[in-house]
Amino acid sequence: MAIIAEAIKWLLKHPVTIKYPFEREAPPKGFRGRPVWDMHRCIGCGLCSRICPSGAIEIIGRGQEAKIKHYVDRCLFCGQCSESCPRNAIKLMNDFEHARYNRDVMIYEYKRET
Amino acid sequence: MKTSKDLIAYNDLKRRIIDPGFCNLCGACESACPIHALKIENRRLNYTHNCADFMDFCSICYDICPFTEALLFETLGFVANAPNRAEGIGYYRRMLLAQAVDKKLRDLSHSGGVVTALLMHAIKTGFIDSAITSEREKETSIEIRPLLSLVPDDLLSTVDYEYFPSSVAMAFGKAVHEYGKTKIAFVGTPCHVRAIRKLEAWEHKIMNSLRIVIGLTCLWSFSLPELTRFLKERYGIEAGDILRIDMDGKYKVSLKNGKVAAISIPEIKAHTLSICRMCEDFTSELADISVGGAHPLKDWSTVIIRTEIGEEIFEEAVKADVIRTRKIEEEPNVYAHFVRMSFLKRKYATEEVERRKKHGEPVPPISIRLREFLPREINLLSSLKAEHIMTKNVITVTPETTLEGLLAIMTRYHHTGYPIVDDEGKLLGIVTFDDISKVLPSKRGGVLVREVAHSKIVTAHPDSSLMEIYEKMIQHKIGKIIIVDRKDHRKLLGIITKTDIMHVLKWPMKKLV
Repeated sequence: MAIIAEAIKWLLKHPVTIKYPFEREAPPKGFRGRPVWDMHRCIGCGLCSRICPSGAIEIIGRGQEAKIKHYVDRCLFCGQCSESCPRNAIKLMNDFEHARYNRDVMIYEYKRET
Repeated sequence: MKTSKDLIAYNDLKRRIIDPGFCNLCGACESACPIHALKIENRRLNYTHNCADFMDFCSICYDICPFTEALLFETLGFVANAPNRAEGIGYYRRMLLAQAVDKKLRDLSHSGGVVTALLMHAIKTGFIDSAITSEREKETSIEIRPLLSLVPDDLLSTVDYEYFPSSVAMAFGKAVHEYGKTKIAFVGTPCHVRAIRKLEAWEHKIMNSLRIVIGLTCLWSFSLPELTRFLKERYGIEAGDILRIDMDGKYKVSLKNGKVAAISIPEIKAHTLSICRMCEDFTSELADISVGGAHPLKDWSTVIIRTEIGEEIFEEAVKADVIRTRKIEEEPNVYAHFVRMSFLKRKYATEEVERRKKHGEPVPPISIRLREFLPREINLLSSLKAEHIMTKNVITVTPETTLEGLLAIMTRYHHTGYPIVDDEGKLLGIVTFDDISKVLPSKRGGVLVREVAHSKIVTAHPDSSLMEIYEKMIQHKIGKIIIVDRKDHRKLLGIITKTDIMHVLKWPMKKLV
């Protein structure tokens, strides 16, 4: 009996889910989205590329001239890269809609601007 | 495939710092290394695995070592906005005497117990959540090890600092990584402070957790094995019997059975760390607050406040009646002793560097950097004229001033050299701190400035370039040059000190505006 009463109670209330593409909620604090490199802080040590469990980060070149390639399709958003960076050069963003039809556009490149 | 492993900064560090024996085991490299390739164990720095296997380019360990030339001028930025600047003291806001109100603390420590009182109060009020200091090893009583204090009572075991190598910078890394502390106070000697400031200038991630840096004044640190061997062979003192080591003109080694052995400075200096003999920083010039002894006063400490945060924590402690203060102007002798020590250290360092250069022995990169300018700096100094940076409102003395009066002026303004000018404004000579320290304190009231002053002075003109002036300073081994009018050589226009020139190197534009 109790379960029917509960069901009727909930019928009169708003749903707990939201209609996603039309309604959006802000990501919670500490959300791990896409990592973004601040190349003015990056020293090109390559630690992020070493530690990445899915091999999503590629570093080309050395030191100040280093170029970072980040493959979003491989990334599992664990945040290890940001954790390991000795100089806080990697920040995790709040965005989460990364799916595309073409894998080529899912590569982000970072280079130090002079 | 890597062809050359010389790219790695560690090789440089090893070649220029570790192999010549300049490492003081502060452990900054251990806390900074992102792959934990460096580790301090058994009082030496160990290289646990080849970092070239992991990284191609990483310069942290070399950059943040306190004895390398990297980031040296950047570190000055943390204190350089202080309003005052003086030779031998550095940048500062104010200088005063202080002591802990709690008598127990004062008795435990040699001097005023200021650092302990400050930290205990700061932990109680939540200004900091932990403090990194050094405590003595129980067994030997003079050997020290770093300690992370989490509650105020921990700090009681750390009073009375002994000058032996302590890996405090390593402990800082541990406090962040292992204890997760976010408001840390750091206490260390000038080289430790420099290591921490270099980490901060490098913008290392762990430095977000640093709250305040308290520097101790330090003449030299001892090499533990050498000192214990020396004491045993020469004086028959076992390391375990030592209660403490005091420094007031002589090194006094107090033993547990009540005896005291007095050892002269030159004798014991041979057993200090080789890097300390080339260090020029006596007062921890990069710290937020520097604290040192106040010889000949027993219960007081000399405190130099350099930054805003230093002022804040100190004021709070004074308001809460944890620390009481006195003006240093009341005690000219304390000031005289303090500055004399600072100059003594600098003098010994300069001599040692020159001796080593002559004999072709290795010199730490920092000592080279402080003496030789880069090409672009030489360009800058050559393009600037003396009139751009000289201090125009020079404090002068008359030839009839007594040395006591002069010392009172010095204690008030903290400059170490004063031009002597007669009533008509004619420049007669210069009197410096060195001239005072040659006269015994008891006789200073009766000696006049003109009796000790130099009438031969090194001067320059307002349109001389700074490089010219700097070379003159090096040539005559002086710290300040008087600027006189080109036509009338007895007309005083301004004064330039070596610190002014160093300041211009870092902030060339600010001075010109």
